[in-house]
Amino acid sequence: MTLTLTVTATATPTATAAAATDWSPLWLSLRVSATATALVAVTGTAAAYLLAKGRFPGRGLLEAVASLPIVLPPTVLGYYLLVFVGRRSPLGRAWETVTGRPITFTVTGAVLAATVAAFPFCLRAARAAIESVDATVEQAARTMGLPEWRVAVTVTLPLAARGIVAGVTLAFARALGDFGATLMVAGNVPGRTQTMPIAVYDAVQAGDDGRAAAAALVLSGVAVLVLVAVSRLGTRAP
Amino acid sequence: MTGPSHPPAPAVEVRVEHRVGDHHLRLDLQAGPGITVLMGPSGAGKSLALSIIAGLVRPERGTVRIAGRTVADPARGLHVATQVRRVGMVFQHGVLLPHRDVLDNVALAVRGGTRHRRRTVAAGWLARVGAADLAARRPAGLSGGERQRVALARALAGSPRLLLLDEPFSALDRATRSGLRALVRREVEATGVPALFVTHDAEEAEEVGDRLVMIEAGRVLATRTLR
Repeated sequence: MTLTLTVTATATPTATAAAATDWSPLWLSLRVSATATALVAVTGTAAAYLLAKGRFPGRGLLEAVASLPIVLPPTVLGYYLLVFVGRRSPLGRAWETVTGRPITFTVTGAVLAATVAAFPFCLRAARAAIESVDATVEQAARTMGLPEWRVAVTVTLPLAARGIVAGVTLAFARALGDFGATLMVAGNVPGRTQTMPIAVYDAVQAGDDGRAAAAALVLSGVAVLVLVAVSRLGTRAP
Repeated sequence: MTGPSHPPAPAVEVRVEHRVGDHHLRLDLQAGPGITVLMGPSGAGKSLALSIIAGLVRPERGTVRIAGRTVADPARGLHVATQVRRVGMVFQHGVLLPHRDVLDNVALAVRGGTRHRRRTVAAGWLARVGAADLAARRPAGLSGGERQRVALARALAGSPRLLLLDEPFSALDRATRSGLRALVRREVEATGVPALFVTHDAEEAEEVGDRLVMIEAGRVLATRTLR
């Protein structure tokens, strides 16, 4: 109630109209998080499979590093990304030479930030799901003559699918909600790199409570949907 | 290849040493043709022996030969993958792929050919073991006896050089067990595929086996011809 009153009191007709029509942060957010989720689903599941099945030196360290984005402050994660892919870094320069555009302050940067932030959510859920697959079923598949890659594709991954999908869904939510890392790497360029969470911050800073409330509601709605989806995936029998 | 002047190589020759926890397996046995029963109490190392032959467990020392070909020899760093040993295995509880229907379970084990051919061959095997009507069913909906019939069809569908049966009927009721033992005997005779059959049940050993190998505490105690 208070919110409605405040919106009416502060928003001018023009600002309201503009807020009502400017959906670019939402589309950008969906585009960025969909791309990041696709990247995370492939790389996260592959990495989870390697960590679950592989026996190689440095496995524990690799997993710890991959899981860092969960515990690191997002701005610190963003800072590291800036160090690694900034315009003066070897990687950033190589990218710019090949593509003609920098990674930082572009949509690519936003995708990178969302991907790295979301990666461990998929990795951990997928790894747990892959490890929970009955090893005897995989052994039976080997006695059936299926080569290792087919054991993975025909047996392990389908049986772990529920957990993997739950992880990918969480990763999508994390990618959609990323603020700190995205702001550090991609900045806040309206119409270009301003994603929904940044738009909420921007709207509050500008005193545009209507826009802030609308964006916050949309993000909250997606978050609730994701939680419902993950809990349904977790409770239903395979 | 075995020359004409040599006797044919045994279906399987195992001479291995392996330690798991308190168990110390020191096995020296030859088997085939026909059905060789490995009998002994729980924990004697019978199932472990099958896992070593199938390549699911790497022995610490010794050699495993299947049809005259060495498939495991840790001293030489040799470990032929399970997939290429061509052994058909029936596990105690069937262990069918739970997310695939019965026909798929058998068809996936058929080697080579088009998908259509593999499914036709699989359907033929299901008919042979009396499970043709189960083709479209999921493993979760099958009875224990039905599951083992399908597992036997799946093990034979891969044209194995050796059939390994790990207490396949111990969880089934008496009547079902008897019918399935007869089925195993019939199929081993019809296909000529030698089999190793693990059990702890003396009556089952007598009924199904051509030869009996008694195992206790990881060692062969005695060998006897049954038929």
